[in-house]
Amino acid sequence: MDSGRVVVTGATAYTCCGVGRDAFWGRLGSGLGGNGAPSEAARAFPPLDDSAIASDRRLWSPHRLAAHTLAAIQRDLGEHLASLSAEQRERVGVAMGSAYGNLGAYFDYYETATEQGYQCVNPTHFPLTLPSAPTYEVSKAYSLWGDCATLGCGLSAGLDAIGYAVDAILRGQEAAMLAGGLDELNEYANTILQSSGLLSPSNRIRPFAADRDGTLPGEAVAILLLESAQEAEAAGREALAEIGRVHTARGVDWTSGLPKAAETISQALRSADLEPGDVGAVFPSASGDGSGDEFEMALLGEVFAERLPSVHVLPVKAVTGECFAASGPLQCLAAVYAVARAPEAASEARPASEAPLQLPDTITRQRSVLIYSTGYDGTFAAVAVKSPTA
Amino acid sequence: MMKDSDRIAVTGMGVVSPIGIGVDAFHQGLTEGRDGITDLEFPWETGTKANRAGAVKGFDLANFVPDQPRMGRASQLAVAAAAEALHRSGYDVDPAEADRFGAVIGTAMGDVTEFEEDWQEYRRSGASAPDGRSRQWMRLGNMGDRISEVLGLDGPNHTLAAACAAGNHAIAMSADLLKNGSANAMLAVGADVISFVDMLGFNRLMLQAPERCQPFDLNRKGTIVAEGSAALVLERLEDATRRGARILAELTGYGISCDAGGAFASSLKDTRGMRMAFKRAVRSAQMSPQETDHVNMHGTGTKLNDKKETRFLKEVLGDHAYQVPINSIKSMIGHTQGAAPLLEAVACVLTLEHDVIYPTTNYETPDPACDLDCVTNQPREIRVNTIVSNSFGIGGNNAIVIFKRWKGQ
Repeated sequence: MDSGRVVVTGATAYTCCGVGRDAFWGRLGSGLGGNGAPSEAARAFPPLDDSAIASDRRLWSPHRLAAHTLAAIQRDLGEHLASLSAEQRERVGVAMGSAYGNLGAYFDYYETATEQGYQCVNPTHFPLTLPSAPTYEVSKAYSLWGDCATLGCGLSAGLDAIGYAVDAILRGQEAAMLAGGLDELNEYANTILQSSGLLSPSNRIRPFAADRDGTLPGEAVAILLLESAQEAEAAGREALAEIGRVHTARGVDWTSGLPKAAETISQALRSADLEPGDVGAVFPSASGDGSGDEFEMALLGEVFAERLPSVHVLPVKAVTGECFAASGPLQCLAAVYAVARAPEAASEARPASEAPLQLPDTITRQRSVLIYSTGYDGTFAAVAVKSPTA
Repeated sequence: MMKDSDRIAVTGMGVVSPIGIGVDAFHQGLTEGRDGITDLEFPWETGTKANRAGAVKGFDLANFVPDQPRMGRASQLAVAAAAEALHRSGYDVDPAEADRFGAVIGTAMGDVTEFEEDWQEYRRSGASAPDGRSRQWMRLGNMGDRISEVLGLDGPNHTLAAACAAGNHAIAMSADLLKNGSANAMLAVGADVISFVDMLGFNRLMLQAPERCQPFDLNRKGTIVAEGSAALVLERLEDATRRGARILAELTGYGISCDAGGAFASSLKDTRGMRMAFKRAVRSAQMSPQETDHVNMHGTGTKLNDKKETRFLKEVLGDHAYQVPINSIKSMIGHTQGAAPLLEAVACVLTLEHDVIYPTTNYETPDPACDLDCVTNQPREIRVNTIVSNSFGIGGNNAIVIFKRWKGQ
């Protein structure tokens, strides 16, 4: 047994693919291509389906994002969390990352008061305007007495939260952490995004494609259950994957930030005892943005050099849209799928491609993968996930 | 025995508060029992005759760092406090090692006031929507980015939202990053401003007092919303000693927990989350609860908090609770939300430096339910060695830090 390792023993998501881990993994299993928002007018991925939260009163929260978070956890992790003893719950924490920090609830409160009058706000909704509200809703719903932290450093906040959780387990503060990201598409985020010049005029998201013309926003919740390898093994819980420490950088702009980003990836690989040559696949941040994807292509070339054509590059935003701080954790969920559940490749020998990037449509079983988040806000974070037996 | 690399020193402080800008002015204001609460006006009604608040007066970022681009008020306050702390630490940031100096920012609401204004302008004028790429719209990440840009720090940079306990979360995370070798020095910063939503929210929940904040007084009527920022420079003790830094105090322990008891967590009797945070803090400080010499209370001045916090302290300290002087500086500056733990951390370090416990002002009538040794209305000259500082936030965030006099002092 090794107390210095952190493993993933559970995962869940709420995406446009549906509620729960299997809905997301099932969609990944059917391929990464053929995506795009359904209507010309929407210029966004479909909003999350509210039926799962409407049908279960236990999941009720006046805040939509918190309700979706609770619904996802209940679907895949609820049974495990309910089985924990009172003593175990004292050493389980929650860390969630958010780029926009619950802005929808904040502005709903603000606009109600400024347009209809102070008497019209529901006083009990004030705590929901806090960026930390969805995180503590999770702690309370499952009586988790450990740390309760909301990370908010921008687009890589979801990976930041996973890094915070990994470190809390490594130093022995918590035995387990629920960690991930959440962001929603509300009127405010949508309004500013529609006028940002970032969105695809053709209403399609095509990461790394030569004719890519922008991104499309989505909304999602993505959460990993992380535990010390020692505790998971002692309890007989299956380790789906092992996860390394998250390394971060700031001020990574897409014109001059390549060395800093490449060094951050090197640190993340080293902390997982990996070298670039060990990595079989990358779940990149790529969102179809012209300059962002170009930066990532150069970054991958810098990290993998001549090996790059043999590395699978698997951009999941083609499936979910740009989900802001939830994107990094969604990439982690996809990475866990790759090391734990994806089908083996048909052939042992990996075909080398002439193309600079190998962009397969399907995810096949991997032993070690790299995940990173980058954004127009200059945030960057990277982490490695590998098979627990790798 | 604590490893040398796990010992954390405080080597710099900065503060922007309603009772004074800068550490010296803050100390002077606290010693005098200065009242930082004034009337504040908003374009919209909040349901009270007067909005009493602890606003920072006479602040100009240019006095700290000249020629800065437009940034939100919370970012301005944070940059100013961080700049003062860095300056006072005497730390010369070598650009070649800038990636070894980081910052963690704790906040309740983030940088909100500017985008309230931008959104109003958009709604009012029909102008094009605010630019979605603007950092303004990421209310949490702004402050850390600005501190990093202005001060040239390129190390770990994180923002933590944990309501009114956020500042102590930032202190704890900064210390952890030092202990695991991610950085050589860290700025732990807390910052929050008074937004319309804040003022209205506290009013509508009936947590806001009509005139003044009276922690532990029988007739207390609530807290007073305030704004401010404060920062600590933290280093591993061995590094600080090696560079010849002036060591102001040791950060010996910290503990974090969440009140996860559902609807009953906010009840008077349920102090479990507070006790957990305290237990974790004293364990990390490797001390006995009876070694506590002074407690800087969260002390918001609300009926429930002050009674519950008193009860909690009796539970964890036993009879020793009656021997420990307590105080709440929120009586003077109001409740600066996520920044409050950092402002109070500065006050704790100043207590060690000046051998004085600052007063809990506005205290008139003893409350039998809050019967500890509260330092009231006048400062108390006393030499203490170990100070516990409590912070408890809406939603059940509990974070407690412990400062100790450095043996070299």
